[in-house]
Amino acid sequence: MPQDKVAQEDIQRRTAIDRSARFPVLFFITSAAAWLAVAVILGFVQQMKLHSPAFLDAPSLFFLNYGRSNPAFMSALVYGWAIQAGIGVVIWLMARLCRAEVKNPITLIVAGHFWNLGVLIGVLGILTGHGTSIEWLAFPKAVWPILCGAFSLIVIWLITMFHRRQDKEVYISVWYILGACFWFPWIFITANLFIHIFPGSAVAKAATNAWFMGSMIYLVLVPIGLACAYYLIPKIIGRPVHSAQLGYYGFWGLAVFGGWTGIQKFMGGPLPAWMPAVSGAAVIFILIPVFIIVVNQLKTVRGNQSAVNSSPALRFTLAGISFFIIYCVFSALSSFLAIGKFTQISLTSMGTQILVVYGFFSMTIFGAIYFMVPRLTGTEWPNLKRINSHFILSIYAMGTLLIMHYFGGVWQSGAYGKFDAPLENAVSAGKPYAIGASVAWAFIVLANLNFFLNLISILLRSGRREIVSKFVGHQESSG
Amino acid sequence: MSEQQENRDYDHKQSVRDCASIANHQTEENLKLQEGNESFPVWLLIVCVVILIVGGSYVGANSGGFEFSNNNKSGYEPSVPAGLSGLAPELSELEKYVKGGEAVYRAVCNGCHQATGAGQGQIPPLVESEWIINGTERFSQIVLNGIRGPITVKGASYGAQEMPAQKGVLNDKQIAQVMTYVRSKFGNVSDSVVTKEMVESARQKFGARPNQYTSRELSPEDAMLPGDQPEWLAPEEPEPSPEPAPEGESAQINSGSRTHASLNSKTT
Repeated sequence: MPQDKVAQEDIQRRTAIDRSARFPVLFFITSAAAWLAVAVILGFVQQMKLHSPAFLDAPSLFFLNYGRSNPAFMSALVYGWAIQAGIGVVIWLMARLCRAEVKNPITLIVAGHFWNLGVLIGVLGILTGHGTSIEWLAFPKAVWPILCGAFSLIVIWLITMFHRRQDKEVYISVWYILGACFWFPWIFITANLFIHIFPGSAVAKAATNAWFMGSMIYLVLVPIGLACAYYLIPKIIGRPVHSAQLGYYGFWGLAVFGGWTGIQKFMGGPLPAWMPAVSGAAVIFILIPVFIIVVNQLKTVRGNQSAVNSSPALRFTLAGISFFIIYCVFSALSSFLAIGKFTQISLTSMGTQILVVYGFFSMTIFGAIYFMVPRLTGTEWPNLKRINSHFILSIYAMGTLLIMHYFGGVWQSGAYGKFDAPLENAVSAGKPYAIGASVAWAFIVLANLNFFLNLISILLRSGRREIVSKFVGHQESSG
Repeated sequence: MSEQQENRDYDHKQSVRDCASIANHQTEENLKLQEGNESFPVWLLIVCVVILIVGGSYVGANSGGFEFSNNNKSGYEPSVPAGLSGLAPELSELEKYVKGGEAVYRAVCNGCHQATGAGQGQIPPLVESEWIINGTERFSQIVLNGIRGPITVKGASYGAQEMPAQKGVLNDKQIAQVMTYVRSKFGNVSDSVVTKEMVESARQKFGARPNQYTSRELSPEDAMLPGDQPEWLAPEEPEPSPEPAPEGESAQINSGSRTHASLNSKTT
């Protein structure tokens, strides 16, 4: 049968691609998972320190105080885990979508080593007290050129891969991947230049930092996450993406509005009023592409409830999409001063960052990892229960964190607003919620323990024996 | 190879593939990703337009005319919330002197006279002492030059200890502050301020004395220091009677006692 033959060729092609991608992708995924372990432990510690500074308080553990563990946690989460895992998934997606085998994996490995070196120096630097205390740019000043150099190697590799593509059509995921790989260097270099090398006034630095965070979210994390979602959903469901037109508008809407966001964080602050106003409007306008994208993806899923229930990858992806829309709607609401005054400078701000980095981005990446790693190693996930508890605990933890950070933030900001009451009232108003968030962090640690155990055992198994699987195209199945 | 054999290495009942069994059992993965041709739904277009309108009006309302110098939205009037003046609370003249005097007292007088003003051993108490309540002139003499020899305070006699002169340690303002503080805290004189100017004139008159006073050498009990009394001290006597500078001892006593009388009439 010719159709079977096409399918068989397709499987073989895919298998060859997966084999060639195996080493670099698994390198990025495993080192990212190691950083995730560091990040969730530091995350739990910093959350405990927020309400009970006596937790783990010994002279030898001086580096765990809140002022160090908090930026170390956030930096390890964003640079060590999120971007690194993103790179790993992107390499595989790019190889699959360009239908070309990975060449020059050594470039990727070198870039990965330098990236990890940079993150390691950065996190240790923060813990030993050399951090810059700038949100998401807390690494010591010397680190960013290393990260930048490593990432540019990856960009060069991705562009080369794009040129070698065997498929004339450029799928929507590739747009997002190429977008993110150009946007990240632009955002990262600009922010570091204008904060570390040519610092303007303190106000300008703060505005640059706010813009950096907004753009990192909307132009780097969101595109990579959406690239995974656009790949996995149609792949697993087995039907085309609902509408090419919606995909087109969604992408360009994000590209147009994403770079304007962030500064709404400083509304009412000592900036020219138009800066937060423009950013706030961009966050509102960005709901347009977000709704378009989400409608497009949900319409692709529609009617396949059983698929969602049975596929871990799909479940993680859809949970990520749900947190994504919660994040975007919430950001848009917060850009109105009436709501924003409660969310600007309270517990909520940290909760929002965790929502987008863990709730949206990491969940989507987990989905991609659950889909990808068995195909790369030729082994099934050893324990399905662990996948389920990873999912359920993550959802519980994110739900609890959302409630704790948002309600706690509102409560705390209300107390901040009472100018005739002592500041201590505001601190103690947030305390019960901070304790609640610690419980959620314990859930996150547990959830990811399942993930690590699963990942370690799948990697070790695959090292021990080759298993003939349908993932690796095997000829006999053509019966 | 059968499914059974394939799954033989897995220690759980269900493989991931059984779960994700949707699409294409044979190849596990669907072939090629495609994009559909559905058109843009109208309701989504309407939602988008609504968002555009909301966002546009948001910029208009908050941008403050896109001027660099403007960090408020247009039409914003800075105002102070009810109950917040934005200023430190107003202190009366007396409160300011008392506040400064407390610091001076702690630094200089505390050691002997105690924070409570109770004195200790041969050091006489300040609390309700007639030497601080009555004449400010002799009080200033004691502070400026110190005192030695026998002295009777509240019926008890002291005198084994000397009080050193403070004129070299404290300036006029500090002496004025500490005198006001002691009179207000320990003497309950809450309506009289010993001003800096009064101490200035006292220093001119008594400051040249080389040694300490004895209690008999001090000015009489009702002699008050002349000087700029704050206006609020004598509201009942609007004529401040600015007496010319050359004034005799009697004139001083006179004006002093008059003020003192008026103070007494106010307190009673």
